[in-house]
Order: sequence, then C-alpha cells, then structure tokens
Amino acid sequence: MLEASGLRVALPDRGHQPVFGRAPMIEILEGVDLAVAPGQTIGLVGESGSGKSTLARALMRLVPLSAGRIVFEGRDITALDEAALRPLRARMQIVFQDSQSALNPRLAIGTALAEPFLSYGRAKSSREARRLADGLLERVGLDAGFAGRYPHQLSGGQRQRVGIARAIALDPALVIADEIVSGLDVSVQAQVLDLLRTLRAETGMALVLISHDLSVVRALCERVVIMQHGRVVEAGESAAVFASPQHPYTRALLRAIPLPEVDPGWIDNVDVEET
Amino acid sequence: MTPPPPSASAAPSGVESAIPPLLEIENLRVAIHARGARTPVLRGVGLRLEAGRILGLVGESGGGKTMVGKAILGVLPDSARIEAGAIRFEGRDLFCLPPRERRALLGGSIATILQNPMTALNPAYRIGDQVTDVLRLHAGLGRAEARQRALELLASVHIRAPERVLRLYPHELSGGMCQRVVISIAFACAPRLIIADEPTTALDVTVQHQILRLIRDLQRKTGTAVLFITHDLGVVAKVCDAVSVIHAGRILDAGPVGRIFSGDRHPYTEALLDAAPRYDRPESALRPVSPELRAQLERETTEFDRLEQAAREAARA
Repeated sequence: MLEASGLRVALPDRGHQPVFGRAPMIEILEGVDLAVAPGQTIGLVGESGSGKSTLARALMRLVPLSAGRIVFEGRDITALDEAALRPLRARMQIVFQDSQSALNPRLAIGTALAEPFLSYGRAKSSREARRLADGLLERVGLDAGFAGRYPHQLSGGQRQRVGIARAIALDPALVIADEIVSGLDVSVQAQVLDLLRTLRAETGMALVLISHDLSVVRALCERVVIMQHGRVVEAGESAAVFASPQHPYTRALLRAIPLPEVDPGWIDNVDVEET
Repeated sequence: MTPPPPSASAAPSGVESAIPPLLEIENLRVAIHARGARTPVLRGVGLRLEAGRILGLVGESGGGKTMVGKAILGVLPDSARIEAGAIRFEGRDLFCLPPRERRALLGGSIATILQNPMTALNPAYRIGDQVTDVLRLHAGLGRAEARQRALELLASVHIRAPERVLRLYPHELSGGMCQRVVISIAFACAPRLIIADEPTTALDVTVQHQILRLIRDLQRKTGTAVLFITHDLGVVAKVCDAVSVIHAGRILDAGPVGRIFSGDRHPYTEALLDAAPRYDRPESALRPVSPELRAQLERETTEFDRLEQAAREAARA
C-alpha cells in the first residue's frame, strides 16, 4: 500500500545558521526503504536524531526529498503537487506527539473535528459535520460533552484521543502516530494503546507507530524497523527481532531498557555503549 | 490538631532505627490556595531516607511527587501552604530554620537534578561560569581554584575535553551532555542529599542508562543520599534501595525494592506495573488502572479530607 525506497532528506542545519546566506544542509535520511502492507502495524524505533520523525514527515510529503520514491496505493506521489496530493491526504494521516500544539487552541474540539468533514465534502451541512464529529468522539472514548471544550481544558491523554479522532475522521488507509504516548502516564498510555488496537481492528487501517520505547512497539506492532543515524539498521517481524536482535544497536537498545525487576548488576554489567 | 493519618498512609513499620535518618518527612500536609478554594496536594506524607541510600518516589502526574521535592527544597509555589508536618534534615526541622540557614543548605548540603537539563542551566551563561558559581558560593573557592575543580568535576561525569565544554553555552550541548553538567553541579559541593526529579525522563534509553550509572557511581563514591522522583518503576527497580508510592498526596506503599518487586505490594503499585508494556512479555494485556481501584482510592482520599476537615473544626471550636 505504501512503498518508499531510497529516501534521502537533507535539511538546513539550524545549529550552524550563518548571519548571512543559507545554513549548510545536513543529511537526515540517508537512503531509507519502508514498505507498509494494508492493515499492517509497523513500529519505527530509534533515538532522538535517528531520523524517525523526519521519515514520517517525508512519507506524508511534508518535507522535501532530495532523492527517493514514494508509492502510495499504487500511485507515485514523489513529485505530486499539493493540489494533486490533497485528495490523498484524506487517505494518509499523521498524529503528532505534542497534542497541545497540534490542536488549534481557539477552536472547540467539536469544531476542530467537524472541519475535515466539511473541507473534504463529506458532510453537506455543518450540522451533519457536527453529528459526525460527535460520532468520532464516541469512537475514541470521549463523551459528547467534549465537543464544547477547548484544547487547554483537556488532559494530555484526552487531547491525544482528539488527535486520533481527527486522524481517523476520513477513514484513512494509513495513520502515522509519532510518539503519541510518550509523556503520558503509564495508565493513560495503556488506554491510548488499547484504543489504537481497537480502531485498527475496526477500520483495517495500517499504522506506523513511531516510538523510542521498544516495549510500546512490541505491544502493538507485528513488524519493527530500527533506525540509527538516518538509516534502517534492522527490520523484521517483531517476534523475530525481539527474540534474536541481529544488529548491535538493537541489542544495545533492548539491554538499556530497565525492566521492573530488581537486578543490582544491571547498571554495571549492561554495556550499552557497544555500538 | 490534626487527625491521625488514615490506615492507608502506610509509613513502613519495623524500619525505625535509633539513629535519626538523614531525611525524615512526617505527616506533611500542603494545600494550594487559589481563588478562595483550598485544594490539598500532600495529605500527610511520610518518608525516611537513610544516609547514602537511594529512595524512589513514584507516582502518576498530579500525585504530588514533585511537590514533595519542592517542599524539601523550600520552593513550593506561592499559592501553596504548609498546613502541618515536619521535614527533618540531619535531625533539624527545615521549617524552623531561619531562611538564611535554609538557603545555605541548598546547593551545598542539598542539591538538585531536574528533568529538563536545558532549563536547569541558564542559557545566557557559559557552562564554566555555572559550574564555578556553585563552587565559589558554597565552597568559598577562588576563581582559579574553582576553575580547576570545575575541570575535575566535568571529567568525573565523563565529559571529554572539559576545557572546551567550559567555554560553551548550554544550547551547544546535547540533552545528555547538559544533564552531565547538571549532575556535576549537583555533586560539586559533596552534598549529603540530592533531590533528583525525573532526571532521565527526557533522555534516550541508552543515554538514560549512562546517566543512571553516573548518578549511582558518584552516589556510591561520595556517600550521598538520593531522593529519586520518577514515574518509571523500571528505573526504580534498577537504581533504588527502597521505594515509596504516592497517589493524590498520600503514600500508599513503601518498602525495600526487594520486597515491592517480589510481589508484596499495594494494589495501586501492582496496577502501575500492569499498565506498563514490557518487551519481554508481549502477550500480557496492557491494563490501565481499573475504574474500581480509581474509585476506591478516590473514596479513601475523600474520607481523608473529611476526617481532616472534622479535626480542623473540632480544633477551632
């Protein structure tokens, strides 16, 4: 359904912005391949700076590519202009980590959720859009009273549900979720992950779950892709990768996770600096 | 004056020792007063931390764990009122100390490591100035001595090329490097207590491991005690000697990590463990804290507040 090959992205290096002229470009993605089958859930793992968020944005055509090709539902979208992309945008959606800044602070939740139905012509009237928005709230486990509230009146977990609701509004074939549970309490995280599971089963959507947390990925994803320094270092079925990680970086990531078991040797004996 | 703590505020019994602990918090009650309303945030918190030990303070956001740290440091928000209780550091009640003496403790005997190293450091000053400031203020070192000591400190947190780092500004360093600098400042004056509030939450797992090792190594070498505030029970299991679990300003569970992690624990602690996914147990369902347990805890909290209110009225009458 989605096939990306040889993706390269270079962005201006804001750390070295000269007073005049352009900042030098740095390579964020150095030739990444990623394939997502319909209904598949893929976990994209890596540490900060590994390029996983840039990859998500590149797949959505939100950052310019310097090389590579993206085919979505049989169409080459690498060079499509925004007007041609627009109908496809309904089919591929992204949920961002920072739910606070992802929502317009001046729009009530109901208005924000009704908006895609109107702008994509899926509702004939704003009343119908409102009704559809109420339905969305229900699907993500929020009662209809939330429609009248504003983003700042919601908790982080509730805002993230709204972000998910907006992403699934137009029945997308693919949802990319970028670190949507980091920063949430474990109990709230469990609820959001459970919601994603339910929605995936209901809609058959494919899901790319970006996370730095391998345990979260293991709980939800059938495939896992490990990134480091703008490259994919390991990819495969979750069961296989977690049972016998092949790349030293994957092994280091796994060992560095503190499982809730007392192990006085963990701090000293675990060497995560192998890579 | 105040009602007896309810049964659930379980300060661990049987761990009392003859020597006073390094840090002892007793029946700490703090409430936020805003717009004429009083909202309790700490409901009779009790903690003990022995010298040279690491105590984990765990809970969900809003549970009051950061408030405990702030109360020890004396940096509660203006709207907060300490209504009862005592915090004793080396046997001295911090609330009874003159402000001057209390301030002198901070940065010297009691140091902090906060979650966001980027904001813990002042963006407008070079690393060198920020490390030497502490040394000149608390250890009374001269400029040259302080610089020399700062170089040693940066080397002790495994910063390569400390001379270069001294000249840099915080934004020129990565999050992990900034946290190393913050740790070097925290350990600069050989503190007896460090309050570490989510010190590794913003870091990648491999960097987290390095930082945890660093804190533990320095802590062992210097004999400093650490109050380790975190939401991550995994981190607690790996670095702490004991743990207290806080919910709605009440300590619900407390004990040595060996006991808590081998299964003798409060249902709330159990629920927090069940909610976190584990890569080694993919088949286990992720269970959020159940509505029944939430309701039960809510009832206990309400009951606690009701008893306290009754006691206040009785005291007033």
